[in-house]
Amino acid sequence: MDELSLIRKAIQGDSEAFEQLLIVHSDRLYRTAYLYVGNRDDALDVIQETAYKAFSSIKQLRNEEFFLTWITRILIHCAYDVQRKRNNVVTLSEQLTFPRERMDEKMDLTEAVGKLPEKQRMSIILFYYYDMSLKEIAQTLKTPENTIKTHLSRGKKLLRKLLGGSYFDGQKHIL
Amino acid sequence: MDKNTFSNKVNEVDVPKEEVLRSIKIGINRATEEKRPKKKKPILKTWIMTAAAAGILMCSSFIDPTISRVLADAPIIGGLYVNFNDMVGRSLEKQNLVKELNQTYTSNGVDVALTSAYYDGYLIGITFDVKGILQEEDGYYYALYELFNGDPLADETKELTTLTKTKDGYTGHIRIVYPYKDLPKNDTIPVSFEEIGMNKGNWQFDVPVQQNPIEEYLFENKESTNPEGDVVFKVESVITGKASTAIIYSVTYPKGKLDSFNGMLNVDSNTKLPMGGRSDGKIDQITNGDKTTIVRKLVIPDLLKNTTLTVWPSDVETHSPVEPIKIDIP
Repeated sequence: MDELSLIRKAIQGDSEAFEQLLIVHSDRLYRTAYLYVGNRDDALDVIQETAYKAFSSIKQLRNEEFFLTWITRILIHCAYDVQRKRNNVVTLSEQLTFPRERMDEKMDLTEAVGKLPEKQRMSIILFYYYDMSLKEIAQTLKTPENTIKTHLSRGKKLLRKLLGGSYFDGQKHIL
Repeated sequence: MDKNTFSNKVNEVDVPKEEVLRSIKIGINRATEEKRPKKKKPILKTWIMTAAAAGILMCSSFIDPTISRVLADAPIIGGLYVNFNDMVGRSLEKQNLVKELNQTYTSNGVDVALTSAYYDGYLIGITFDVKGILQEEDGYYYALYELFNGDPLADETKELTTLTKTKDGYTGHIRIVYPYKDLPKNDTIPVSFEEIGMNKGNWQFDVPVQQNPIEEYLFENKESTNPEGDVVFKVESVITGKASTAIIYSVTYPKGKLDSFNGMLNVDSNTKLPMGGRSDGKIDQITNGDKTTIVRKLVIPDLLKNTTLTVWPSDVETHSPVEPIKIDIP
C-alpha cells in the first residue's frame, strides 16, 4: 500500500495504517529525536509521545501531503517537553560552558548539534538533515523566514565554534 | 558543511529498532485506549454527584474564601494517568494507590484545582485541572511552578509542565523526585504556581501525601575504587515502593577533586529496565577532614524484584574508571 493510502486510512482512525506510517519514517524520527535530546532513553520517550499525540490528533491533518512536516512538528514539541521535564535540567549557559578537560576531547557533530540552543538546533536539523528550504522550515516551525535565517546563521556560527579545532572523518570541515 | 556530510554523520546514530517499534506501539495504544468510548452513567447519578461536589465546594469555601481543601481517602478509579507520560502513576492507579485531592486556589482569574496525588518511594505525582483564559506559547500551554519553597538544599525546585486541553479547561501533571535523604511517612509538599498559560499569579498549595509502604535493603561492603584508590564508590541501599525503585549511592573523593560531581549512575541489569524516566539527584554532602562524600539516589520508575544490577558512576565524572558493583534485589 502506498504512503498516501496509509495516511488516508490513518486519518480515518486505522491504527495499523498509522503504525505502518511511523515505521516507514522511524529511523529519521528517532535520529531527529536523538539529535534533540542527546540520549537513547529520552529519544525513545519522544518517539512514544509523538506516536501518542499524533494518533490522538490525526484527524486534524488537513493536507495528506504534509504528513512528514506535520509529524515532525509534533516530534519537535515532544522533544521540547521531554527536555523540559528532565529532572537534571542543564541551563543554556551551562550547555555552552564545558569543563576544561572536555575541551580537548573530540566533539562530534551530533554532540555539537545537541549543544545548540533549541531554535537554532531545530533550524539546523531541518535544513541539513531534512533538506528543507527556508520556506518549508518556516512553515514547519510556524516562524517567519527571516527569523529562520537568523537561527540558521547563528546556529552555523556556534557549530563552527564548537567543532573548531576538532575533526570528524579525519578532515576539518568548514561550515 | 554540505547537506550530505551532515546527513551521513547523523545516519551513523544507531537506531535501536526493536525499542523504537515498541515505543511507537505503546504511544498508539495509549491514544487508542483514550479514544475508546466510556460507558455512560445514568443521568440521575451524575446529577447527584455534581450536586454533592458543588455542596462540598460551597461548604469548604465558606470556611476559607481563597483556599478550600478536602483530602479524601478514597482511591481514584479510572484513567486519570492515561493523559500523562508517567508509568509509575499508571501502575499505582491500577493498584488503587493514587489518592483523590480537592484543593482549589484562584489567582488572576485562573482557577487551579489539585485532583490527585501519589507518593511512592522517592516519587511524588500530582495532577491538577485549570480553568480560565490561557494563552499558548510555541503551541503549548505551560505552567511554571516552584516546589519546596525554592529550598536551595533541594536539587531541583523550579520546573515547567505542559497542560492538555480538556472539555471544560486544561489538565496538567507534576512529578516530583523527593529531594531529601530521609523519606517521611506523611508529608506536606509546598507547591506554588507562578505562571499559567502566560498569566502571572500566585497559586499556593500544601499538598498532603502519604507514602506507600516501602522495603529498604541495606548493603554492607558494597564498595569499590578507581585504580588510584582515591575515589571510593559505595552502594548504600535500595528502596522499593509499589511502582518504583531507588538506589542510594555515594562517591567519596579528596576535597576539591570532583567538586562538580553530578551523577549519573550507570546501570546494567539481568532483566529489562524501563526506558527513560530515570532521575539522579544529590541528597546529601558530607565533608570529613580532607574528604568529601556526595550521597545521591537514582530513581527508576519501575518496581524491581528478583533482579541483579551492576552499577558504576560515569567515568567522565570520576576522571578514572571505578570498578562496577553488583547488587541483588530480592
